[in-house]
Amino acid sequence: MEMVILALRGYLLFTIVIIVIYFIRHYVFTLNRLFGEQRIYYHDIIDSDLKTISVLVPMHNEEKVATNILDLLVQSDYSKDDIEIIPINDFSADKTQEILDNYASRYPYIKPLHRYTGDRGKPAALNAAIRIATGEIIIVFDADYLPPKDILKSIAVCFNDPEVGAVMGRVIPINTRQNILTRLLDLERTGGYQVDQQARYNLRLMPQYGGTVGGFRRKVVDDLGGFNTKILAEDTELTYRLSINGWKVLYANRAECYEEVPEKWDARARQIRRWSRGHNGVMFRYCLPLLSSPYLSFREKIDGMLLLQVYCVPVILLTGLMNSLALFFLGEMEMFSGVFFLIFIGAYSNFGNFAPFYQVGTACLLDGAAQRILLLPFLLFNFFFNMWYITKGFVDACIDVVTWRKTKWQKTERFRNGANKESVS
Amino acid sequence: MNKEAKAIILYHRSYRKIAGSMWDFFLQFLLIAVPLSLVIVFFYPQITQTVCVIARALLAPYYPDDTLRIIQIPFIMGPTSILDLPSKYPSVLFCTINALVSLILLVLLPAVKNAKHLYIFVIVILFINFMSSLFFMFFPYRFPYEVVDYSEFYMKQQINIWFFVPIIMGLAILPLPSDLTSKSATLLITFCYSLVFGATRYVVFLFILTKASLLYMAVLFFVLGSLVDFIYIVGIYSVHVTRLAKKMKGDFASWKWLY
Amino acid sequence: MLILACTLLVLLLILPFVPGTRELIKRRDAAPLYINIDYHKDPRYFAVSCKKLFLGSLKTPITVGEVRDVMLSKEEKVQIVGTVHVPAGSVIENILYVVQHLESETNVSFEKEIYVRGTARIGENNRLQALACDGDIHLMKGTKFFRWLDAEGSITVEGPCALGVGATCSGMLSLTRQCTFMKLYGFPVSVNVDPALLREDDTLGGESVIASGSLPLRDCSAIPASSRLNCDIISSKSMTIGEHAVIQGHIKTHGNLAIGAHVTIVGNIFAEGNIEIGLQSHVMGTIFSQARVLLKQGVRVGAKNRIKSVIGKKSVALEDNVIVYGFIMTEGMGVVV
Repeated sequence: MEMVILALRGYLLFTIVIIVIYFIRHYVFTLNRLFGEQRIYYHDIIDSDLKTISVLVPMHNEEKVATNILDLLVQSDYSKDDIEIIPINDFSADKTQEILDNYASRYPYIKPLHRYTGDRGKPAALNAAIRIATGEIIIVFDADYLPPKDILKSIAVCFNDPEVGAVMGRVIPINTRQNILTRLLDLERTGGYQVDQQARYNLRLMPQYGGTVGGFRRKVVDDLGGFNTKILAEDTELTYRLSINGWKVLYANRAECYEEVPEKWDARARQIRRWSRGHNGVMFRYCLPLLSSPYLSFREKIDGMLLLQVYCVPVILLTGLMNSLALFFLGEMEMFSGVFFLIFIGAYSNFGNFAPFYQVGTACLLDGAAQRILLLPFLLFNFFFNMWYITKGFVDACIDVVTWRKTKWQKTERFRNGANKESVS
Repeated sequence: MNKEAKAIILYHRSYRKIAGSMWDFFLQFLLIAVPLSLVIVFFYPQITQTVCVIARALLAPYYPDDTLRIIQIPFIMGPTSILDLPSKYPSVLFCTINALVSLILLVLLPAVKNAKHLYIFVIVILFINFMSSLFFMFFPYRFPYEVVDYSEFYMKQQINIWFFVPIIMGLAILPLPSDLTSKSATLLITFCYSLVFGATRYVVFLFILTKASLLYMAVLFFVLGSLVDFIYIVGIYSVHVTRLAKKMKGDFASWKWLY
Repeated sequence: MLILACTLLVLLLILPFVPGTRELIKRRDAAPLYINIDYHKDPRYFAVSCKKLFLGSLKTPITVGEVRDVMLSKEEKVQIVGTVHVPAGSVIENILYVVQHLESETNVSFEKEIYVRGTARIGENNRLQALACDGDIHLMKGTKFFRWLDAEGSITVEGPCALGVGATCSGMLSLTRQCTFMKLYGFPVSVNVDPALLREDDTLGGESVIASGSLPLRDCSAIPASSRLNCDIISSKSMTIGEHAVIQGHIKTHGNLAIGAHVTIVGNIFAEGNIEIGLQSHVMGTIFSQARVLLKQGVRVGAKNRIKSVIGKKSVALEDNVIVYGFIMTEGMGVVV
């Protein structure tokens, strides 16, 4: 029994150490974004030598949103001689195919890829498209995104830097007016991009490629074997695969694009569970390769590890809570009086919603937003929600590893009703 | 940099930063936040004594004479006062009802489609309540605490919370470019809020434990304990930052660009 | 009293949610952050936008000599003139629309924007907000721009001037010593270079300046003089490149980069630290630094048929006879030394 209590106490202290580490990390990022020197992205570069690009847009039953993104891509200011747009119709059962064929008939640089055989899902779809793409640079958008005119140039220009393997832009929710969920997710995104990603870019750590509003070098990814179809978080996996092989991932805070966030809690639950499952799958695969990469600095490795484990933290918190309950019923409450509070300081401040409350507040301030900051207390409920579904995703990831279970791609539900781009303004 | 020209052409949000420095922040932290925490360090015996006196006065009508006692227990830099009250153990029936209700709700709630984020919070409460009910059903004599133990741990935890609240709030708002008066006021308000909140919760929770039963100790401690302190910290922070954001919208002097 | 305590506790729990609840109901800040979907990056954006606004507001036929009230970003007075010669010491308070040519003497202050359809000759020590010109612009020494200037033709600066946030043109942008700037855009931008002497062979043939497919050279702190390299160079530390080296590839360093004299780089240069390009070197690519860029005497960047950029976040300094085909930008101080 004493050994059990010792182990439980040890785990509690471990939980607190993890919380403190992440607290420090997030706080350093916040201070850096507020006061520190900002590293500029390459969007101001004007260069007549444009690289050829292939824009991939994976689509599965996207009839509600397909026309919006294609209309905007067609209006892009990228030279049409240097661009091809490959919408990937991935086993769609609705009118997606017809819509894509219609655009292909009108624009010679739109070359749809229709897939009704082989593996389903985004990674497989991207791999199929990469095989036929001719551009030096691949830029990926999810189907619900609304890319501005200049974003292709903004993304492509960074590949003038020979060290850059991938770039990620900033994602901004467009459907914030819908309900409390969309507003809270908007806060989450704001904190995550405006502060967290930008700070990681400033400090030359490891910004994350998010799989959309971003691009990568086609040849590099092709040489590295394409996307891993066994992993749901193919974007995170690419981030690490590029990084350990000497390529840098940039974050372009200036390359902003609208996206649609889930409007229903169960859609959000499925999304976050999938992210957790995918991200933790990447964690299992890349912990050791990350540490042994000769191309990464010590700081990059440390931050890379912390980033890899970010979807473990809620699991640690939940098990920490269970652990604490066990210690409580075993009569060990004495040690709580001093330290238990720290768990929830760190827990909520670190993982209120993927970005701590002070990070979100700072980001909103920098964005010039005001009243939305008042919604921060509501993130308390997101804390438990996230903790629960991320833990489920972690369990899924563990089962995947142990049983070599094949992952089945799940697309996030769309909510737009086919409104055209004027609804943006 | 051509500040006149830059002032007219507004900074894009992407590389905007604030005018301010780390040294200012550290200095403000030392001069504003730390003293408030030190108030707790040096005066917690008196503060806890006052809380206990108020608690006893509020609870006295509900208990027999001489059952409410203020006792001193040693803590880090001096004794802390706590209230000693008689414990109430739950009956088997009470435990069974609690367990059943918790279990039924635990089973039914996941079927709720809306407000998932709310019901998960409720599920956590129900789960802990369920575990506590089971414990009291099967091991009632092995429950290791009396109300006086809860009282002691609550007060010690509360002292830690009071100590950390100015620190956390200071870390959150002192880097921001609001004026010193506003920051000081916010910190003071938060500090006072935490004192009042901690004292009020103490009274109410002691009443629940002594009149309902010790069964609820786990829930009160784990879910409605220190976590809810965060609500007012974040709430007051959000009001402060919102006011600051409105003020900064037209104020070019507050902003810098890139470095 | 206990009921009061319970009520107080509930109030204290609910109170932090009240402002947020009001915001959820009133939705004062529920709109998504604004992104200009139609934004197209144009170094001459200010001028293009200004002219469009201008001409759009002057809808009815104009009369030379009139002063017209128009609505631009706010209500403004626009003074419409033909060819105008502004005497020394004048203060022009209205927006000026010059249908033909503008010439000003010394110490003139233009309080508002100017749009000249012909050529503009600005005298010594003038003060201007912004100047858009459909012809050529000549600036005499001591002139200061608070915002920008743009010409469809060329811009010639004949003495030290402060060029505001941006000086852009479709033709040549010729500077002299001690000019200060933040953005420059011209074909080319040059410092004390006789246009007649711009090299006829200042073009690049056929292929883009793309490096070969060989693996990059990593963590090399010094490239010896007269080296010939045909690969990218990526270094985590500061680097130097010796004189007369020829590099066919892109360069990236996480430290400072010092390039010697008479070096040819057929590729882009990126550095986290300072970049110094030595005498008479030629860079056929973009130069980008998170710190400072110094282009020494005779450096050429880009070519007649290739627009390239020189960007130094903290400063860009140009010495004599520097030629840059395209865009120069800094968010700090740009100066011709």
